[in-house]
Amino acid sequence: MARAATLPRLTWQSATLTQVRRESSTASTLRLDVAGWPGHRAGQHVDVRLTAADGYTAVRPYSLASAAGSGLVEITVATTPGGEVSTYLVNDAVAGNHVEVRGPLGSWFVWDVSDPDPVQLVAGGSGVVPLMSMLRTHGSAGHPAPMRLLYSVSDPEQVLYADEVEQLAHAATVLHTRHSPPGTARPPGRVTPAEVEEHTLPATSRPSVFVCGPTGFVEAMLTVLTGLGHDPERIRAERYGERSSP
Amino acid sequence: MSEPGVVPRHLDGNAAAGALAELFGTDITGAMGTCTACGNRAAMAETHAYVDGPGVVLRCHACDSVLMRWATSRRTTWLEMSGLRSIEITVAP
Repeated sequence: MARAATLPRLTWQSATLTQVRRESSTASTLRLDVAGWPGHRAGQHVDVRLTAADGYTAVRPYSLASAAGSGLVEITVATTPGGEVSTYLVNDAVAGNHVEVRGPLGSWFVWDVSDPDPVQLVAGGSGVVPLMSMLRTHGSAGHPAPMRLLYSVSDPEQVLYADEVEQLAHAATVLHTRHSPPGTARPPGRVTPAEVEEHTLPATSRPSVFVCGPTGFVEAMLTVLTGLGHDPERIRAERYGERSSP
Repeated sequence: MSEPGVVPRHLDGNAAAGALAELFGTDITGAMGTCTACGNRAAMAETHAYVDGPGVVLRCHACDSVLMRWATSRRTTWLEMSGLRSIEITVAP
């Protein structure tokens, strides 16, 4: 019985959209007002449930982008081709709308300020969302250990949180796979093992590593990172899949 | 996107955290599970989750054996987990 407070049963809660911010042509950040929100850890997600008038429901997990300890509940949603939930949330949802949420969820792909080690983040596309929560948490805490971001994205227009990423300066590297910004020397293309080595913390500094992105990207990065000598035990991955949701 | 020879794409067990919590009453993605088939021990978040079917299937990320599968109808949940030898759930003190 004493544990009842630490193991609350997860239930669906009503949430109100209080703000919708466009992040790119295909992604929006939604701020949610959830009564009694217990707070979250950087890297966690929530399940969002939409219910149609006929009772049909659809549930999708979305990563939290807001900093742990901020009290803000913000998710960034990117559209997936044919994705009924993501398309609604990105293109049609407006402040005042209601959805149901369950969470925060996930106790594995999380970073806490109590971790004293350096941190290397590796993002593919919208996989940057939970990593941005880690960056914001790290920044607002004034954490002394370095945290670096390697961000692979198709083109400059698809960069999420572009202003914040730019402010990270040398702590962030953005590499483009399809179109590079004018004036950059690097031709667009997939991130190479040499680029991973050049733009990430060395394995000898024993960083915690978080990799998030499409399944194929994550698998490729895991191979490269372990090849560079990173301890697989210190690498945590989250795959977004590339499925087109029904 | 379904090209011949392409393996169906999976998410991580992490993405099934909410569905797992419906079964166990709490978030178990950090719990360590041991595969019956190969003995690999990993966090439930590290399993491979196939969520596009009518139910959820979690497979061992080492040997691809089915660890757990379940499906829920309006009133009944059917759960099969013979592929999972054990699961260690640690709660906060």
